[in-house]
Amino acid sequence: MLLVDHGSLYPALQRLERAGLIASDWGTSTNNRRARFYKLTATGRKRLIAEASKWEKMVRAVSRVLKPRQMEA
Amino acid sequence: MKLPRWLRWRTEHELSEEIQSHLDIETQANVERGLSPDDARYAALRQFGNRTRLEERTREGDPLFSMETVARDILYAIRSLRRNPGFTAAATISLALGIGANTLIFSLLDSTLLKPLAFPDPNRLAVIWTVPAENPSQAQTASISTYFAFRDRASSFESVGAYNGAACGQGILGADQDGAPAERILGQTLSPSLFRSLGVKPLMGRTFTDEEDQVDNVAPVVVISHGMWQRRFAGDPAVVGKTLTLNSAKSTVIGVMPANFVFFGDQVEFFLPLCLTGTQVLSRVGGNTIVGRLKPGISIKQAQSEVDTISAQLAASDQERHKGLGARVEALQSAAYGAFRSPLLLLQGAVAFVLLIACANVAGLLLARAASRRTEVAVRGALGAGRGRIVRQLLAESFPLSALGGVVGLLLAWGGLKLFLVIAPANFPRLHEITVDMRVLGFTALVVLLTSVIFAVVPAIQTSKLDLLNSLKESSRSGTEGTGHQYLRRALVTGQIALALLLLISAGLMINSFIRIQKQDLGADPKNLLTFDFRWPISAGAKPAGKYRGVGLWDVSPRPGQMFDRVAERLRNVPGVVSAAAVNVPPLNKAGIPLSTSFLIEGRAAPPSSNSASGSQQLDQTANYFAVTPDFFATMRVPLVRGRDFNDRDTAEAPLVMIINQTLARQFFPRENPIGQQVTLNIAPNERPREIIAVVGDTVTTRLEREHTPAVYVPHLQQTSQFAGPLVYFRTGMYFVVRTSGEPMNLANAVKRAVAEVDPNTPVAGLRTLQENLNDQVGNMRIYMLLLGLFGIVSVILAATGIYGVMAYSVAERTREIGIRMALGAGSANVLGMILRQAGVMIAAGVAIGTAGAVSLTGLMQSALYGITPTDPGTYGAVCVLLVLIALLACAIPTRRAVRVDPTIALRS
Repeated sequence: MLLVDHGSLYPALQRLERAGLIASDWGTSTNNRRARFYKLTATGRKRLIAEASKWEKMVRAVSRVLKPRQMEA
Repeated sequence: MKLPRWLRWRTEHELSEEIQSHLDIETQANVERGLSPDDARYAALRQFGNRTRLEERTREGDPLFSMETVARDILYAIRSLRRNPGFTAAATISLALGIGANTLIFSLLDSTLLKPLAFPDPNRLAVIWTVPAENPSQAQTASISTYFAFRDRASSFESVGAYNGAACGQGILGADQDGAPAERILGQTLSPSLFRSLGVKPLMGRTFTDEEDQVDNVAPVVVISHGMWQRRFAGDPAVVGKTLTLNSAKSTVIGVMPANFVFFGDQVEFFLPLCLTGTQVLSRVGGNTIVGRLKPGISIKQAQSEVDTISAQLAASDQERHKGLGARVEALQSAAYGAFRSPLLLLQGAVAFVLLIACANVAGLLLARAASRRTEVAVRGALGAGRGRIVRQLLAESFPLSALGGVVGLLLAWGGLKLFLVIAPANFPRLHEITVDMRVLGFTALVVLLTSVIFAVVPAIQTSKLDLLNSLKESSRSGTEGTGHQYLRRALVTGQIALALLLLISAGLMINSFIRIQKQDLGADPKNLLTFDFRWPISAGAKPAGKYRGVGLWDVSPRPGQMFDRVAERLRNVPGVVSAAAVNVPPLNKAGIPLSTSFLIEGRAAPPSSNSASGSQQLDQTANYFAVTPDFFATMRVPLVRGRDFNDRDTAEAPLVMIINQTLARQFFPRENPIGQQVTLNIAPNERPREIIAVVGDTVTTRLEREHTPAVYVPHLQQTSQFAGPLVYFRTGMYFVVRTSGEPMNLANAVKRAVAEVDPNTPVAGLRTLQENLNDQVGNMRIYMLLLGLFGIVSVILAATGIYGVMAYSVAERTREIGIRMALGAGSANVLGMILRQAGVMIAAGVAIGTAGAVSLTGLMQSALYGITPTDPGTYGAVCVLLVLIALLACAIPTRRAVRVDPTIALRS
């Protein structure tokens, strides 16, 4: 359903890092390759929780609007 | 331009390494899924998307990166400006004229109205005017009793002081000091508290104490200006404590003011206490300007409400002196220089229009350039530049252009300011403070930024609507281009013509008024007339003699009058002098001197009370009052309509006589012969009936006079021996007029020597030609006219280049079309018609809009105009014709080019 270029990830990561929501560092992947690892910062975590609950509220609201229609149909 | 490696490295290098590692991991995963290594890598790349584009997008988010692009755009723009010197020069000159004019006017506006006065905490300084209770907008000076009341009672003020004009401080003799000859110097009387209000401290010594400014008992002390200290005392560090002779009395110098204390003008060289007399304190007469320093945190509004309360109390408790009077508090700066506000704002508005015209010019040039650069822009677009990116580039290109215009404009303004200081009238406020300083530079920078946005926005909008495909296709075809941007350019030119017309009409109205003033019949002949002020100190020519109708009464000694006659007599014998005479007020300049009188005609009923208690519209039976020596009318060349001039026999002992002007004769003796009638004036106590012996022609009392007023002339020796009020000043001195056979100023030294022979203690002051004095009266008007005229000319030149640009471009673009038309049989008349139609529409629309704008806006100039209305049809007609001619002239070259198109060449190119 959702198909995006993998590359689109990077501008997004860049923005998140500049906003201080994630932090990154070089590390070694499971198969021993050099790779950059991203992790949530404390602010990032708080923000995630806030955004996630907002999202959930929205989803609930949308489905509440949609359900009666479905029943009518 | 690239940023230094060490700054760029982290982002770019790391990013591409990171992406590489992403791709490697993905490839690995694909291999593990069973793909061949090559397929695995392609699949990973496909999945990843456009790597270059993503790297770019990631980098664009970096603030360093956007700075880098802006810098690169600007550098690119500078390179392209260098490649197009013609375009760059045209745009720079346009902008420089616009920005320079704005900078110039702003520096005038700033130094008079905006820059805080050179006092500590100047915002807390305010003037308290006396106003008629029924008309608070009419500011008047206050009486001493009003000053005392506010000084003692107004708690909104930390300190309340006053200064006045007409008392013992004005135009006093500075007599001989270390052998230097006597000279007239200008002083200012002010209360000790005024120094506290203004917050100024002396450079050396001290200022007055309240004990030194006691009513009827003023201490003989004087504070001198920095200029006086340098000039007469050569900067002597021990000047404090020395004495000097002022008004033939010894005064001790107690202090020297700092050089920047020039609030009263740099002509004022000494300061005295108010030197009040008991009658002055009791009088209702004004003349005093009250200046207070508000307590911290008190607003003018709060002070006003307190002042209102006090005024109401005064009016109720002391009807004789305060009935019908109120008070108004006004910030000192606006009180002092408010008169310059509206003309300067008008000029600032005019230069804003000039700048708009200049911006339209540059916008037009940029549009033309944008059109020819469409291929370049389209290529950029095809290579992936977004719309925003291209608009940003256009903005970046406009900035160096306006910056360049700004720099050249500043130079123009700086030069213009030097010129202004030379030709400015001496009474223009704070002349010595006018400079191009940081504030002005800041204003110019703001204007530069604003203009670069204004004139870049038009082509930017145009370009951002660009259709890539068509542009690329069109560029390979050389037919007539799409007309969209042409409409925009024509609209710009129409606007330019409208604004230029508006400016030109305003300038035309000013010039027309000025010419009318120049041509105006003065009623006298000012050519070859020398004039000077010869005056005794009041104390030497008059003695206080009690009180009369609430003002001080003076016994006037006959000695000054005799001296005036002797001076005139001696002057007549100076070789080169045709005739000499004197008058009690400055000749042809009575502005602001309230020397007029009501009168009674013998054998007629007194007119209804002229105290205007009822305020009815009856003909006020008053006239301007002049005292003259014999020969005055002959010297001034004022025609004697009938009767005889005053002569040597009209002395104090002879029958009292007077002469009236034609206006008085017409208004009060319409059907009878005025000669022989007896009239009693009300100028002084003890006036007795005088016989009218002649009628003379009307003269103006100021050059800006709109209609003549009745006037009476009396022989100066027949003035009453007593005189009431501060205008006694005009009894102890006279203004001489000397008609010369050659250039008047050549006789200046001879005149001074002749006067010194008769009276060595009284120096000649203000020796000038009468023409110079007359020019001063219209000095401000002249400077406004010159500036408006200059801006009008600049705007017309700009608008002309604007229309030239559009027409030249349009003809160049339509060469092929014209060629086709001609090949199909169109004659040069058809082509001419076609081109002129195009120009005519722009010009006609511009003229129509401009005229409409002028009709609605020139009303603002009403008060600055003389003798014509703001919708004077003659001016409008002449200016419209002139502008249309100039516009057509600007079209001439492109039109010629169009008519001469050779179809064979045009079609082949």
